Amino acid sequence: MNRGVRTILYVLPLPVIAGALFAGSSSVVSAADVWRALTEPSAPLTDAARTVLFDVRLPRILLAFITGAILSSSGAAMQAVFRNPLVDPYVLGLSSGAAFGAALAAATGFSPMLLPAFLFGAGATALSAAAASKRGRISVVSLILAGIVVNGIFTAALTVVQYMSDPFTLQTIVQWTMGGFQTAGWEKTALAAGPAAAGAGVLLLYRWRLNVLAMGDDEARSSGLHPVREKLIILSAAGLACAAGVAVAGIIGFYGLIVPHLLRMTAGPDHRRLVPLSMTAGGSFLVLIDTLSRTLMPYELPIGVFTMLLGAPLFLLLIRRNDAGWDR
Amino acid sequence: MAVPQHRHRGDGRSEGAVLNTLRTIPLLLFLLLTGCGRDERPAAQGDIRVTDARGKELILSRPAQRVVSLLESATTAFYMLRKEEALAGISRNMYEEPLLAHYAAMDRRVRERSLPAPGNWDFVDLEAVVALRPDLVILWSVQSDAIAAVESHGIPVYAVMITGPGDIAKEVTDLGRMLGAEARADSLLRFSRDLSAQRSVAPSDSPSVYFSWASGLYQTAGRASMAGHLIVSAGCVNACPFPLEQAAVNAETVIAWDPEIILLWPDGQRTEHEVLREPPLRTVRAVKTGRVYVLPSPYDCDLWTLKYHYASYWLRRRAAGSGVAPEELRAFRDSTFSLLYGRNVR
Repeated sequence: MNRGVRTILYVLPLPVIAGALFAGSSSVVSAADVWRALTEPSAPLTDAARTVLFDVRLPRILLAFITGAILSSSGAAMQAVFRNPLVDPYVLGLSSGAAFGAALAAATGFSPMLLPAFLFGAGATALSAAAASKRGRISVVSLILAGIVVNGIFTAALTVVQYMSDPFTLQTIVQWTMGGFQTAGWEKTALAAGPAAAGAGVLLLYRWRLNVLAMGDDEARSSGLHPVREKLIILSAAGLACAAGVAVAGIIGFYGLIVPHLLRMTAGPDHRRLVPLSMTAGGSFLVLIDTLSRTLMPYELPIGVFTMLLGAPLFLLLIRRNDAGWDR
Repeated sequence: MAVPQHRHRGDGRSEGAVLNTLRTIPLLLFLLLTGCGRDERPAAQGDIRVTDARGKELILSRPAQRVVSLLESATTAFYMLRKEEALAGISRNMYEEPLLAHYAAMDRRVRERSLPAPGNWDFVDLEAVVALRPDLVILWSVQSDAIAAVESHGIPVYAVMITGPGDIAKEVTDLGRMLGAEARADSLLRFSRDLSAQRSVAPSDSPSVYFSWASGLYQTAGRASMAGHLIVSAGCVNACPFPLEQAAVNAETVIAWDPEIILLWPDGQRTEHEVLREPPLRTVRAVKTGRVYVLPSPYDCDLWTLKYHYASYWLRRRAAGSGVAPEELRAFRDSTFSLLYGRNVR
């Protein structure tokens, strides 16, 4: 890939985040206000403008960036670990586990939805890994099958909770599963930032190992790696980070599948570049999508609509061109 | 041997085609006479005819005796019409708190849990509904699959959709006719009109109200919703200007609307304090002045029944700005509900 394009993708978050600050659903903050706030931090702003800019837009943009970065980089890592281009971060049951946790919290009121969503999401991933491991070995096929089964169990449990819920609780559950950043604030951003940073750190450190793991267990062993251990570390890091992302933003479907492929088409299959690019470009792309979802209409549109409407045609084009890097 | 020529000159039709056409006439007549189903038979003198929310006309030869009503809001109208004995099945949600306590107090069969509950507004147990041999089933108009399934058994379905007070009045009128309780329905609607008339003078300053549904702080009610009608009927202005039933907005939009009152639907979990502590909303007038309220219980404030008058009164008194004595609200609730249900419901 052209070095210039790569550099642009690496620095993309700066202009995207700054640009997204100018877009909003109201005229409480003018473009001049935003410019003044960016260039002259001590500039006077009205209380409402300051709140909108620093307590509404900024945490939402950062949360969208964090979520996009971890979903796309985890997707890239999981596709390498599973040696399967159809895998996304939800393959081990994370989304259905998180949805069940959130639904359970909404239906019983025992806790805010965030923590159970995180715990059940991470728990479902761990359960799949535990179910697939046998005598210290984990086969990719077993892991995917275990993920399908765990997904099914939590989906069934979610259906039971929905069946027993009143109309208002059901609506809450549906809203949550649709995903989005409508209720983003500093609290949610801070909660997601820790696991996301930890997960991203591990993925960055292990990015070269992904290249070896993507070639198969025998090749990994001959390179001096312990494939089971490496896979578990990578899956744990990706699972933990994604569970945090899903807990704060709900289920944003297909993002962790499509974006790594788009970047692989652009930057090639080398994970030493693909993982950091997934973070910067994946985060930026979700910020752009979220900006559309909050500004295109006077009311919010579900973010999943845009991830699919924008991502799916590109993905289909990629499949047609068979240029995802998996044949190289 | 030459093959006989069967083709007519001029129109090009064969004798076989004509015969086929002739054969279909009795079949068409048979279908016309027998294939219409129980609810689509020709109307006769004295039949009860109502049109439901789908625009479908229902024809009943006599008042319904065994009704399965899977909507709690419609079922409550049976109790207001004093026709609860016509209920053969109710919504499963009515056996859950907080609704159970209210209906158990009014109905022995609910108290003893002997009244079947073959579904609710979402899930319908078709076998259980059919087994109850109802002569009428009441469902939401959006439950199209369930409606089609019930109707395929020849059971008439009255489909309900409530988007405004006019729909509630129509539902009460229709149920009154279908249950043979027209006089009681008229009396209820007269009382409802009187309550509306008492509120006809709007407060001098109509405060703007942001309504939040239970599904999230930023899930609001548009102007084409019962919550929107509630706000207007209380002499206030809906902060949300969208002509929608429901809209998802965000904190920035609420800050821009700057409502004077924030009204929360009671979900049993949220409190006023959570909204008052919500950092992004600290500049909103409602939060600054502490005018964030949670409506009383969903049973008391059921916006899809005539009980919405209580919610309207409650909001009007809050919007007036002066303090409201709990005793005053309770007295209004008790007197209104006693008249609506025709019994003491304290």
